[in-house]
Amino acid sequence: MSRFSNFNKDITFTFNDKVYMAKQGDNVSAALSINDIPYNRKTFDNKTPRSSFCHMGICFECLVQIDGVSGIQACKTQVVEGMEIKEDV
Amino acid sequence: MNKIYDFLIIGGGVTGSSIAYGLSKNSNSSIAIVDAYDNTYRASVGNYGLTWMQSKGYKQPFYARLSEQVSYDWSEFRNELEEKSQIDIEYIKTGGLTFCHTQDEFAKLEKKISNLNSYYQHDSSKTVMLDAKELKKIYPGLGESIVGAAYNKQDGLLNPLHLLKAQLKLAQKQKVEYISHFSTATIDKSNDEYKVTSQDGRIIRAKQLVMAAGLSNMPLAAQLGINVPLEPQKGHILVAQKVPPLDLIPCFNVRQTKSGTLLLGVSNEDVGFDINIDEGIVSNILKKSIKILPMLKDVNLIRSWSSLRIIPQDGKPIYDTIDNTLHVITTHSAITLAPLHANEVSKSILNGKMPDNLKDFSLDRFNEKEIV
Repeated sequence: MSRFSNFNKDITFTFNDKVYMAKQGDNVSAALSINDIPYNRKTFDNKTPRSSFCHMGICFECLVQIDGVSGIQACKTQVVEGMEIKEDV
Repeated sequence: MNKIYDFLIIGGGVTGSSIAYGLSKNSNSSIAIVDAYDNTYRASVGNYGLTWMQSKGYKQPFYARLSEQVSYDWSEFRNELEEKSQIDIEYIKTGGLTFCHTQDEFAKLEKKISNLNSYYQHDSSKTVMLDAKELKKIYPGLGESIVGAAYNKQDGLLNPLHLLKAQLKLAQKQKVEYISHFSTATIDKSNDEYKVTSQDGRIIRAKQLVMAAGLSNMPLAAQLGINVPLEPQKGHILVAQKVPPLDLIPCFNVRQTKSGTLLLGVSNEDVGFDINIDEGIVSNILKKSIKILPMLKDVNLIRSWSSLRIIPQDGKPIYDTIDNTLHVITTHSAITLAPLHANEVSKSILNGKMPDNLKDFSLDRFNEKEIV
């Protein structure tokens, strides 16, 4: 529920070097969705786009690169001020 | 339901679907295939998707040669399935490795391999032993503690789900009736006809029966007075996250799927009909895999499960036809042997028998002792 609370302040993060806003307490997966970012990675074999599917840490579709580290689950990571997120490779 | 099928296949796993495809490809017979429930003990949910000859047929020349022969059939079989079904079964003849963690393991495997090599018909089928230095050339990222490995270039991998899907799709296109949630309870034979009844009372009649029910072949065949001695072998499979393609030559410890998922194995446990997860086994699999490929220590594990595979009492496949109408097929290697099942075995079943060159795999071998 934190996203809807008036007490949460806005923060900024980047995705593929573009600046976006989110609420403190959002997870990365929610932060991407709320900004209409359509996908967070492409499949290795036929390069089709993937985004969060289960939102609970099971499906591993939401992998992103955060501050240079790839293979991080967006749905299990809280977005923080200044976070540099990139499409996973 | 007065319909009498020409053939009823019991078992909708990899073996049953190979036969369904093979029978329907080669005849206009009426064919049905029944498959039980998701919670049935299925070897097909626990296989690793390798086409594998290098370890099969130790001190069993006919089995070694059978595995060899099939390894040459795979490329053509893949092309056939893919062309007709438009499903990519992801088969690649990558070669296969068996890693040795100690000098002792290496020496033992070398002995076993030399026995197997003596049976093969082609020099190109032979497994070679590689020391750590040679191994590193074909296996970048190899852990320092690995002593060596056996390498056979005939071995390969595929996507077992896609193989199953392609075979069933083509069988259905060729008018095979696929009946799911049919758990076979009883088989009765009378007046040249088999009556098969499910646990919930449905009845199917057929002139001929193909038993491809994995471990259930044992109790089902027993109803007809036939002894099919099988044992369950428990195996764990671990699934790790997707990583970019590593071009790994597969081994039982680690392989990568086309989509990037890493599969880790393998365990062979003699614990009866038990599919509980054993943390100790999972931990051992992880330790061994990381020794082989240290980069795995940074990879997330997603899930693990176990299943029961089938081991015929003497390890060899079982192919037999009784009274020209009851065909029993039980193997440990439904994936590896799929081209054989879809071609020679299916064609021969249409003639009311198993192929002559599979005589060594008949049930007679289990009954000889009783005569003494």
